[in-house]
Amino acid sequence: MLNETENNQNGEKSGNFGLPEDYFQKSAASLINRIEWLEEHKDYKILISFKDKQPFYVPVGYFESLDKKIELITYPQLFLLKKIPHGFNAPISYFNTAEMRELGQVIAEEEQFHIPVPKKNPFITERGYFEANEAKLKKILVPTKHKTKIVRLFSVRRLSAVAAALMIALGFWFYNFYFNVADTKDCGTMACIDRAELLKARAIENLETDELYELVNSKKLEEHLNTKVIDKKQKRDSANTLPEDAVDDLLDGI
Amino acid sequence: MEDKTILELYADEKSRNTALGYLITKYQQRLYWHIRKIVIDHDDSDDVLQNTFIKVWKGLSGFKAESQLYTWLYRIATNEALTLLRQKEKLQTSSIHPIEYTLSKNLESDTYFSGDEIQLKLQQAILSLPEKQRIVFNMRYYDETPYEQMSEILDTSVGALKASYHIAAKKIEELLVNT
Repeated sequence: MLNETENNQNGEKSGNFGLPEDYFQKSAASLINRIEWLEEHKDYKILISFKDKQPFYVPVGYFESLDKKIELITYPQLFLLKKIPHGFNAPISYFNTAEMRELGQVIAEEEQFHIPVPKKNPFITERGYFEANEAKLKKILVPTKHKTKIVRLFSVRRLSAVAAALMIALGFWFYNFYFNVADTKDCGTMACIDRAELLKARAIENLETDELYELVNSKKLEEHLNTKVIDKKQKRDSANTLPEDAVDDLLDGI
Repeated sequence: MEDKTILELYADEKSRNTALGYLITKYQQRLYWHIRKIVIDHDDSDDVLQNTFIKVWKGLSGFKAESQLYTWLYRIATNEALTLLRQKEKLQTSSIHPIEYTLSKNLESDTYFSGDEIQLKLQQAILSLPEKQRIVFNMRYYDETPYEQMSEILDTSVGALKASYHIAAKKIEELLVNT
């Protein structure tokens, strides 16, 4: 029978293999659990057959890189911001410019002297060949398109301007139509008064001759009389002469 | 590294970051697979795992050793995974099916699923279980988690968990036999 003390290598004796705390208790619990599990599943043969087959995978190196991903946890705000892509942008063709390609070529050439790299492709071209060729080909293959200027007829600004102009015009019209105040300026003479109104008013009948004279504007009356005289004269003259059209008609008739 | 040691390291401000490192190293894989079986998709699992560790880190100072660190971590991971599933379900406005149906369909074209047809059927059968029953099944079947531990994690009695597991196992076994 083995000596219990000799076989007890847990902590009592130094220099022996150490064991984690409560190892045997945990180990026993684990074993019991395993036996219980097997007992539980004895009627589920298909499930047991699947037990050790793991169908889920992770990307290569996922768990190794997880530490780096989570290292910012002590700085929660920074950690959350890291998930958002940085706001810096570069032009689309920035990394593909001729300069960068040339630089890459120079580096490759320099490195040739240090680390001989077997060239698979023996053919070479002159520097800048592809860039020049690209420009040449574009001229031939892609016709230049004139950019037509597009003028929008119904832009918001234009429509707003038209609407404002219409409103102003309508406003003026309304003002003139509805609020046009009649010219109450009294001209002071009978020449301004409508004949019909005069008759309606029957005021003249009651006026004295002197009052009538005061009402009349002599200048206008003279003009009026003169025009009447000219009209009468013209009528007399026209009666003796025929218009030219009438003369032509007469001549055609002959 | 023992949980007790990790907590002792965490208690000291100078060694707090070291404690985090040990915590992640010890639990990341176990938590990841637990989460993965719930949310299925690798990218979602990655998100949930990181959210879990953030919550653990924030709450570790308030952790009272009334329960084991392991069960506390699992509880947070389970809740985070279920929260993600509910968020995904709300976002899928065009579908009348529950989220598990979508997960089941996505499994067929999942890059990180390499199971054969039978494995696919098993996973789809598991996804057909109710949410809690599915978690119980995964924890008992794959992880062989003792019922007592499961009871602490899921806050359910041992008897209820046993009953739930046996119903789930029977259902899946029948599904696999019939296909």
